[in-house]
Amino acid sequence: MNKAFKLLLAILISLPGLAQNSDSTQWNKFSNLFDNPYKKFEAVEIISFQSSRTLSSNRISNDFIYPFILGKNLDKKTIDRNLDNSKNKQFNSESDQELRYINLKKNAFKNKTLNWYIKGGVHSRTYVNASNDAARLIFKGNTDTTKYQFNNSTYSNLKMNKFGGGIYHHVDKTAKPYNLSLGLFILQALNYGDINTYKNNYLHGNEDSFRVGVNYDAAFANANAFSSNGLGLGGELLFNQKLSTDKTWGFSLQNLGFAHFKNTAATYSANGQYKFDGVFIPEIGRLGEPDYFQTKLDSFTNPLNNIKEHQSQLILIAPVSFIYYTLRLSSGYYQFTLRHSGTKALPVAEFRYFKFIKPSLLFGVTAGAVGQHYLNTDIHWAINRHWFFQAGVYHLEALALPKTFGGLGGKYGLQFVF
Amino acid sequence: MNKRLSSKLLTPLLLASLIWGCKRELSTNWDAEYALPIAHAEMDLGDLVGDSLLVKKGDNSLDLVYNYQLAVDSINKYLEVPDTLQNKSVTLSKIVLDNRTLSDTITLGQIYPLSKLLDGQTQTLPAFDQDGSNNKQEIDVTKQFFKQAKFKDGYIDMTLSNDLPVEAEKIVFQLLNKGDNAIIVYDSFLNVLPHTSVKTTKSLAGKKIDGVLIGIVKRIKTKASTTPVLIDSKKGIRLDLEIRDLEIEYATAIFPAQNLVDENQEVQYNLGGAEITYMELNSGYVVMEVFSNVQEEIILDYKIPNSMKNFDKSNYVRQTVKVPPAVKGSFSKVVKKFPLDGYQIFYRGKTPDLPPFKFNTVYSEFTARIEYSGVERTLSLKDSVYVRFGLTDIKPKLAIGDFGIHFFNFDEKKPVKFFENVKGNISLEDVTMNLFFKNTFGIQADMTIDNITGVNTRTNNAVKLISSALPPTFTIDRAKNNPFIPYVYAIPFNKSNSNIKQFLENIPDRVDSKFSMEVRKRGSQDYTDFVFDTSKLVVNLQLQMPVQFGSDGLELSQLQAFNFMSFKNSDRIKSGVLKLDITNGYPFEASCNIEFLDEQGVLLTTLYDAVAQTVLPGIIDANDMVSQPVQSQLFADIPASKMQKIKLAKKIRIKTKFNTPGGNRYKIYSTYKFGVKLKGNFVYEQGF
Repeated sequence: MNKAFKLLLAILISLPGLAQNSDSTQWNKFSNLFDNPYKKFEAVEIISFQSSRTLSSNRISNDFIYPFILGKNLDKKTIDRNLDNSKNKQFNSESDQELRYINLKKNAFKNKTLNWYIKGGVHSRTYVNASNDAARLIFKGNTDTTKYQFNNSTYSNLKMNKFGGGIYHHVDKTAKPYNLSLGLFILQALNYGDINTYKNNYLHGNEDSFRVGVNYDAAFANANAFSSNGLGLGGELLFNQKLSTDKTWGFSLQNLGFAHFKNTAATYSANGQYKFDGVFIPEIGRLGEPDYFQTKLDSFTNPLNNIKEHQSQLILIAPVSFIYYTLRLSSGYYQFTLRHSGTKALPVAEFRYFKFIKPSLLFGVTAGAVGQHYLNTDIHWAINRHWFFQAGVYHLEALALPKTFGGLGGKYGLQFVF
Repeated sequence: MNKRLSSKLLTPLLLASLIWGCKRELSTNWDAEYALPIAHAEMDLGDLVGDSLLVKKGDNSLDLVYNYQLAVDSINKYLEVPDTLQNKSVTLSKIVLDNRTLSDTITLGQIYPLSKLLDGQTQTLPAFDQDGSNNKQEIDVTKQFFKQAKFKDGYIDMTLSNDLPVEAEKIVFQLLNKGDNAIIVYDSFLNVLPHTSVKTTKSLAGKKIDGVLIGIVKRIKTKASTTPVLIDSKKGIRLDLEIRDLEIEYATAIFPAQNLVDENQEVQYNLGGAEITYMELNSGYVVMEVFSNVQEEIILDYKIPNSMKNFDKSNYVRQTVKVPPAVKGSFSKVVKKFPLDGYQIFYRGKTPDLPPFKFNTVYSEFTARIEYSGVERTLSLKDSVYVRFGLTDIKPKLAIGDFGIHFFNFDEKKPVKFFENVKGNISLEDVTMNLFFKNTFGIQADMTIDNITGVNTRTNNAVKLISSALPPTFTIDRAKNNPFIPYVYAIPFNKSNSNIKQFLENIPDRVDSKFSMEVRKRGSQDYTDFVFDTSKLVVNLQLQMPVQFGSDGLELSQLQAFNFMSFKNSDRIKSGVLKLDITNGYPFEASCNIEFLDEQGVLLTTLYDAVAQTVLPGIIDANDMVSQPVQSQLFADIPASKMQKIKLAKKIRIKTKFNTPGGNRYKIYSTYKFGVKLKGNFVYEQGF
């Protein structure tokens, strides 16, 4: 059994031993969790801010990641250890900051089940899936004559701002109460990047000559914040339902939409095989010409790019989707979740255990697997009837075992209810 | 992001960069090692000495042909065309006004007011004798004539017509200038019958007239009518005034079109002793600078009638400049330059085909005029126009004439570029050399060669060229024109008539030459000597020798501009190993090194350390020809410290040293090649 599972097991075993009160009593302290189906609807106003950022990797450990975060040199030993596995390397990053105001006191459209909210925030996501050969080429170089393969590698990157609002719909007087949030946003994509390699991407050769196969396309675009470029529309849909006193389920689709870059996108593409055996010098005097060598290099590399600049591009933004099922037992709450980040990364299957360790303190532990592997923990603290605080630390396994696992992150949030 | 993608110095990084992120200041670095081909070439002797110097012969062996220019003469020594500008300050010679007329009537009603009561009646009209001194009538001529004028010359014609029904026995009429009551006309007329006229003419010379005149019928005496007549008080003595033939000293008026200045002139230019009759211009300008205090637009015309453009005589030099009216008390200024490119100008005065014979003389016509503007202006004969005009920056394409006697002495020390990068020992099989004199001037010259010496500045050894073929003085005839044929004079040198072999085996990197020339010693040919702007008297040394030599340490070097940092991302290359694969198809051993120099030529480092590495010669068969090339590899380890110096280099010097096996002389063939391939391993600083 590896160390991560031992750690997870230790936490899970210890938690049920903590105090556990009846369900309704527990949730009375947390009126701020307005979309929580365990509590009755209360006509309050809530301002909330929350921020989260997570970096996750597969087959890249934290000792490899830390130099990038801390701005330090990456040593050869760490590179060698991380690249000794021939499987693809994956890296996923997500960041969210949101400020939200919801008014549950005022009905929308004169309907008692409808309220409204406004929300603004920043969302970013990056996903890299690189072959080990690609990683070797970047981090070690072409030190041997084997064929370096870069097939089916992916890079995607998106950063966007959003501002908008929506309708909060709640049905409480029913055996299976539920709530639904439907939001619409003006969004601005600030950075966009997308690279996809297909078959026949390789580098093969030595110091005498090498052959390059390329079959890829890529696009990049940028927009200045608060400019008229990169604008689009986005939306979100959140649903929570209490199936019984012990069971709830829900789902959400967030940060989806589209944006348009006008004349600021650059696209790249190539499909072919090219051989390079050095720059041909027709006569020695040409070496003294300014840019001769560089021009010759460019003539080789330009077909590898096929760059087209000043393009317009419409991008579609896939949603960050989430579906869960929660079961309450006497020992606590057990939640099973599937989550997808909107990139080409595999979805994550997540198991979360949480319980009240005090009436005002909710504590949870989460383990993720499949697309990413992680062990997270979090707390929710009802400071008083107005202020609520939440915080979490991600990737405990990688923090504890940085040479084995990769990932780190955290979240925090603050809510004021009035 | 995309900048990262376009990183191209090390091609494999391109694909790698597809996967990685944004370019920014590197905060996280790591070293990656790349093995890359860098460059390859197939070189031959032409790359070392220049292709243009090699001539392939029938058996594919090569001759080295080298032209070395000893001296050049040019047009500037024969013809100087200075800027010639003339200043002309002129007052207006003549200002004229149009002839103009005006009609006015002194009515019966004005003369005899009671007649108004009888208007339209037929009655007997009594005799009158009336003193009309106080009966003044203003005659406003400001619109018809002028506002004010003082006349230098001109006349006023005054016609009195008696429209009264009775005879005017006496009419005394006076015309005064209202401003100063000066009398302009004072005259009397007797016995003017009804419906007849009398006329008088007065000179206006020296008179000043304002725009308003006073007409006074000082006395009018009429006879009584013998029968009843029709009384018409509106009729009377009709006055018709005409001013004509007017020349003014000054006037405020609307002026007619007229020439103010006319200057036709011949100007003889000083052309530094040359006597030119004709010139075709490559470039040059007519310059006109005009200052005018004339309060009317002045139009200046400048013409050179004896000129043409593209040999079209109707298209002669002709330029017009308009000078705007000056503000009163100030002057207006116009400076214009008109190009003369492509014009031909005769320098033989106004009548080139008629005696007396003239040279260096340009005939030009200059006028200043005004046109009718309809605007009232004030002009005076004191108004002036200052003009500076003429020809500047004249660059002749062809000049014809007599350029005079000239003496030139040449004492030159000129580097021999071909040999300046060569040192060591060389033994030549055969060699010939020609001394060429090519004259493209249409002028004859006598040449005297005092001395031609080759100097090897590295060894301080000098060899004077000695030859029985070299005459002490000889004539270089003039080139011919229409069609143009240059004159060429050649003196051949070879091993048997000179010491040319020793002269060249000295590997002279400088030739000192001393000779003198007397131009047009025997006079010109009827002013038909000519000079083109491209004319030269070129003295060339042309060397020709078979490339067959033996060497014991012959060294060639080439200096090249170099900037390692111009390669994208080259700053990230930390160290490396360079490998140079050479396939030598030449019959000599070569050692090669590259020196890296800073801007001032100071040596920073060399590619190979102290001991240069050697390229083995090709395998030589029984016919002294290379039967099989031989491959050698040169290594250069470039640690980080050396890489730093290479990054600072701005020049490189490629030095190649040759030795022929046994010091034998080998013939070099055009089929011989160097195969060169440069490759390397580099430690590259990657970053994110």
